[in-house]
Amino acid sequence: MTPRARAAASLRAASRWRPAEYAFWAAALASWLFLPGQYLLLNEIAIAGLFAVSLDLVLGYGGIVSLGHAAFFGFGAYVAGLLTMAGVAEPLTGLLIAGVATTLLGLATSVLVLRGSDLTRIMVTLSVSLVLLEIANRMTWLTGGADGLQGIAFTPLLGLFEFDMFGRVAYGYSLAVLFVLFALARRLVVSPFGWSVRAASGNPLRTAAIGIPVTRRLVGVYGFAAGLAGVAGALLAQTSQFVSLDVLAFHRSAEVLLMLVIGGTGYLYGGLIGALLFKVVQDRLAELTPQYWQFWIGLLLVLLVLAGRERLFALPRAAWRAVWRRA
Amino acid sequence: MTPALETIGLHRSFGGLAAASDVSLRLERGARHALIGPNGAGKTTLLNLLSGVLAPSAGRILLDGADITTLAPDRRVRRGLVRTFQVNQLFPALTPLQSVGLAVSRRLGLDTQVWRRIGSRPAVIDQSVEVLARFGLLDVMDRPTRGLAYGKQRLLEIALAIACGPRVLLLDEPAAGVPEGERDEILAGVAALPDDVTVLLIEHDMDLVFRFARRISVLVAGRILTEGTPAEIAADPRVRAVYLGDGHA
Amino acid sequence: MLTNLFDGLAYGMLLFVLACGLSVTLGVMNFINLAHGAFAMAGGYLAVALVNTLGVPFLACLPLVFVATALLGLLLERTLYVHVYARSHLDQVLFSIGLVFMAMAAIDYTRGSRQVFVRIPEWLNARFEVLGASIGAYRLMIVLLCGAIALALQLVLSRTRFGSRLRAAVDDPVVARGLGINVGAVFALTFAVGSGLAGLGGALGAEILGLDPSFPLKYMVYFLIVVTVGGSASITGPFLAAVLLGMADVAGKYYLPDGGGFVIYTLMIVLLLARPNGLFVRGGR
Repeated sequence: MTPRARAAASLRAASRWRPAEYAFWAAALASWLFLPGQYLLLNEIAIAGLFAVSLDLVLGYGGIVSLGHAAFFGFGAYVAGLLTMAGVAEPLTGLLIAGVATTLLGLATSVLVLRGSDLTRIMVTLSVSLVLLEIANRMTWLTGGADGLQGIAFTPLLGLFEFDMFGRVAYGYSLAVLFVLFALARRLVVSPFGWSVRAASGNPLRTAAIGIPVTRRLVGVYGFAAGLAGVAGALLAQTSQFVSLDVLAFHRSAEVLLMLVIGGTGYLYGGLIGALLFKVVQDRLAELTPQYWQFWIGLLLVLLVLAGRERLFALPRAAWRAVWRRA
Repeated sequence: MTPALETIGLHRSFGGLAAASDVSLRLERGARHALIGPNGAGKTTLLNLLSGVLAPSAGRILLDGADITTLAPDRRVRRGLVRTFQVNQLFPALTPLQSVGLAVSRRLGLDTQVWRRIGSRPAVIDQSVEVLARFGLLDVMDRPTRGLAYGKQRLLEIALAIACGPRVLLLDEPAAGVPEGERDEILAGVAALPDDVTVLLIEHDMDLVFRFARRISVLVAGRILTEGTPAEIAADPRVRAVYLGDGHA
Repeated sequence: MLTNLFDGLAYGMLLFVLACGLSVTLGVMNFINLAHGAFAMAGGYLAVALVNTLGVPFLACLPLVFVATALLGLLLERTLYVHVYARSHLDQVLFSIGLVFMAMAAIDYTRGSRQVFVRIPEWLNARFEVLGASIGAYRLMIVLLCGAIALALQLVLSRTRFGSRLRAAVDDPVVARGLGINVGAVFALTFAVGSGLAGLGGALGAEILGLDPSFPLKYMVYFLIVVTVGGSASITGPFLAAVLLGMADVAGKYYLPDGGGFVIYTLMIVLLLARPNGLFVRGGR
């Protein structure tokens, strides 16, 4: 094989869909067909998965440690909820508007986030989410304050599918949206733009020295990721027909971080796998100790770090990559 | 003729210490210019000023006659002013092919593409392979950079700059840490540049400087002490004094 | 007006005592300890147990709380924290949030989620008028006590051998090690004292800040503001930052009752915008 052909094949291989990926999504589709009893949990997993994929773009690719990603999730949820009150009751339209609005919020706040050190970023992301929470809490006339948004109702999806009480349409809808946006994100990270984001977080000095504007790349990926988180929030609002302050709460930011870390950062599937594991374990543990579930999250975090996150997840990730590599 | 790169009274101090003071340099198109000087003379500071990593406190930088003094580093690269680093600045998680492919994509204006995958244009592959081949990196182009031998990483450091298509190339001690036998590989890659590319070489190794440069400037304590042909510099007693006094050969 | 100013002062000085340990953790080890507030909460609940249940006099419980939380800090530092210093900031954040969650759930489990109060002696509830300001005895005591602590810390840092070692370690840990300073030991001791002071602050602040299981999260941002804005180079920086923050918060809540925490968070964003690295120099990665 000529060097040219080798190079072309190598670059192509990095972006090709692997059998393991087809299997993953086939399993997801099968869950919708064959697990009707689990729709509520599955829907939560799909939404949390999208949220975690969004954080992976920010943290795993952009290298930005965020403690306030719930800001975008919550914002999207409120936008979707409020839209129905403004008369936009078709879910997909609402989803689109929520996504665009949250992208704009992400772009606007990226100016704050992309300055300074890790510590500054942690504090600014945290503060942005707290400010939003505070606003939602105070603007009772708009958001319902601590009572949440009451009386959200949606028209049937695309005018065809009515949300049923078993969550069949809801989960199918969430899963389809997750798949489309995941494919988009996956496409993005193997594009020149995606590689430049990876380069910019890995070595900003050199990235600028090959002519790539570091800040603008990170702003771009932050905005896109914010949009995904906003859509995730909107999905929650639409499929649960309820929005409360909880969507903006700190624990949501911390949990999504934990999900992503469980699944591993920097390869997109980590967010999905992490969300799946987290939600299933949460579901089981919550039956045992509903109130003190937080303790176990905390313990898990501490043990994860002490045992060495990298070391612990090197194995599953290597396994996944091995399957992934086999063409 | 407009010089390819010119500095006028460039000045930069840290605290009270002037790391560059009143530096005026003039590089004609196609120049092979070396900047030498003892440790701490301000060579790297000057390079950081030229590439935009540092902002000067006074003075101007002209690229092809256009003032670029306040331009961001990445904008300078887009105008053809490219640098390498004394200490390798690479992308450890990327392979050489991906790194060089990214630089080539940028040069071809494809770096904002979000929909096509990297290397979907044949031109990117062609040019990346050409640069990798020139620096003997083809056999390792698929391995993550962090696992490469130091010599290969050093070659990649230079290759990345070449991939940007420089019109003015600033080399910061390209042979630093490279054993004698492998230096030729680096030099050969640089020598293969077209004649109209202007090169400023910062180097410690006098042997390399005298082999490469057609003109030499000597920087001492942030100031240009003198400038001349290699023969003139070699004969200059002041230069000898600086180097012998400082303990360097 | 003056009353608010005084309340703000008391509140700010309390914040200083609560947060000053964190500024050293950040300064010396470049460690982001989001769990600092858990030590304060531990101190608060310990005070409640000592005073309300065991009947220990309030003032006598303060040194006990200090010693107990300092020991708790020392224990955790030697067993857990020491493994995480060299890790990435992400790991540090995950680890310390984990501790916060555990602490919150543990308190919730053992003590319930309701707000608790320390029974303070009658004479501390007195109020008197000075220059038209109504001053509470309890807040006056806080100002005096915290002022004395700040002064003592300043003296220890500037006058003692330990202080100069700590300053050297903050200044440049690598050089300090080269000078033969046992940075690990210096840090362990400082961590212990910092935790002790946080515990003491928690005991003192239960009355003013409110004490319930969500305490560590609620005040996390406040502590972080104090250390980012105040820096870790001196005692004066965090002290001024804390006092300013306290006054701004009290004024904000008084004059903009609907603003709530809004004022503080916005203030912090603005501050961080103006000084992206805060006044805190070694904040880089």
